[in-house]
Amino acid sequence: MATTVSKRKPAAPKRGKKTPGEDFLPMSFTIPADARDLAGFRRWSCSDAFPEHGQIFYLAGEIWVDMSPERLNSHNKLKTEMGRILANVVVEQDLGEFFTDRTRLVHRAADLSVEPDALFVSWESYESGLVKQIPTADEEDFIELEGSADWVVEILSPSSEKKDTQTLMHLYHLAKIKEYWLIDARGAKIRFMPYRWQETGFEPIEAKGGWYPSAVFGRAFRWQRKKNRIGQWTYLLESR
Amino acid sequence: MKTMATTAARKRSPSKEGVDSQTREALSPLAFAIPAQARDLEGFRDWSRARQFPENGSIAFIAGKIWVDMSPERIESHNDVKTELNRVLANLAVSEDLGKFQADRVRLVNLDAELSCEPDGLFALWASYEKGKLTKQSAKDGRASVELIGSPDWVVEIVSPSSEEKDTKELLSKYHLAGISEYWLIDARDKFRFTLYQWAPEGYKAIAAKNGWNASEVFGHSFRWRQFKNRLGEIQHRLEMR
Repeated sequence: MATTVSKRKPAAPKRGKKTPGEDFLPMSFTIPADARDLAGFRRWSCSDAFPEHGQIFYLAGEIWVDMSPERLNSHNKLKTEMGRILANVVVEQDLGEFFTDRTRLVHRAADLSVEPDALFVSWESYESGLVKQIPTADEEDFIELEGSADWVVEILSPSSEKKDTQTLMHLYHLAKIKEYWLIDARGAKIRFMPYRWQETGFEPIEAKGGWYPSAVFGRAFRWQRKKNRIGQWTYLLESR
Repeated sequence: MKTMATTAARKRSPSKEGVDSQTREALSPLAFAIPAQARDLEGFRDWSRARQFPENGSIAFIAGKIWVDMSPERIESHNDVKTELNRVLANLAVSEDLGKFQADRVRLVNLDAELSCEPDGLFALWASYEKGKLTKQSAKDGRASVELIGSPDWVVEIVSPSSEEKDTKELLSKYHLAGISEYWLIDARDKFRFTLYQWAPEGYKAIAAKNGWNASEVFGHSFRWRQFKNRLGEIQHRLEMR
């Protein structure tokens, strides 16, 4: 006795309904065929089918996938410290809006959809239309920022080094990001590498007396780290 | 315009000190870039044969979609079943001189089905190789084969939570398009389920078991799965043949 397949009900669960165990496997997903350009990728990244875990970016045609767990000492702690200091600077001086990681930034001319480790948009950039908040389908919130953010930061990890120092260096410049900070805390010394946008490319910001000036935040910054009482690094972002 | 940024990046390149970037890349098997060209089958095949293609995980091209699975393999419901299939079917292929049996991680490409994937096992009769139904594609150095192109006679997929939709829907139609005579689908996660599909023009037909045995035309034998507890008290899968 044989039955044809087409008449059988598909065994796979309907979307939205999770099988047991699926919760333990956030590391599998399908990239739809139409995600080959930025518009198609954005449709996917704004859909329910887009993976909640990991980082998936569209970088000028390339799709970059990183399912690595976040490193705490050389990544998470710096991100937290930046949030502590810069989010406060932004609020105290009423500069604009500071977003921590997992905020999606899209730029059409740079052909880019990415989640920087943090980003900042000044009130002026919103007002002049340089940056737009793209609403969700129900228009109750927004899940993308589109345009030229004033500032982005990437903290290097083993998996992201090439993307951050080469691919994004080029694409963030095309996206006319005013300041791009790169931080590498993996080696013997913490390395702080801020860049400012120039027509010809990102130009390294030079330190003056150990302090790196930032035109975007109107302050100078330096990174310090010291061993804390459990023998781990504590990072400090100092500003003046 | 790019020069300045690139030079600046190089001057400050973090990889200059300590571990070089290639070693670091090797430490991160869970991160990779899918090149822009990999959006059609030919571009995907170029990528899958390149050094940059991830060694870990499972990545398939299914008619324009790219399926990515970096989940670790489950032992009881996946690896144990695969090992038992290899034990029985690889022996059968040798003892009756039927053809070639390949364990998992062999990349199968089929142009009609727009498919590049790694089944959990595949088998082709000698005659299929001789008629050119299945051919080998060499690596760039010409020394090793890295792809089988065409239509094997048999493939198997063992369902895992991350592959269920792919195995039971997408591959069911793509393996049919690829003209593969027999598709075995096994789900060993809860109640053991074994479906033997046979190719027919209108779609795969699920062949019903007779007295508990599933007849395989490709292997010329009937098969059934049996579960028992081994001396460690674990569920053991046995593939029996007659």
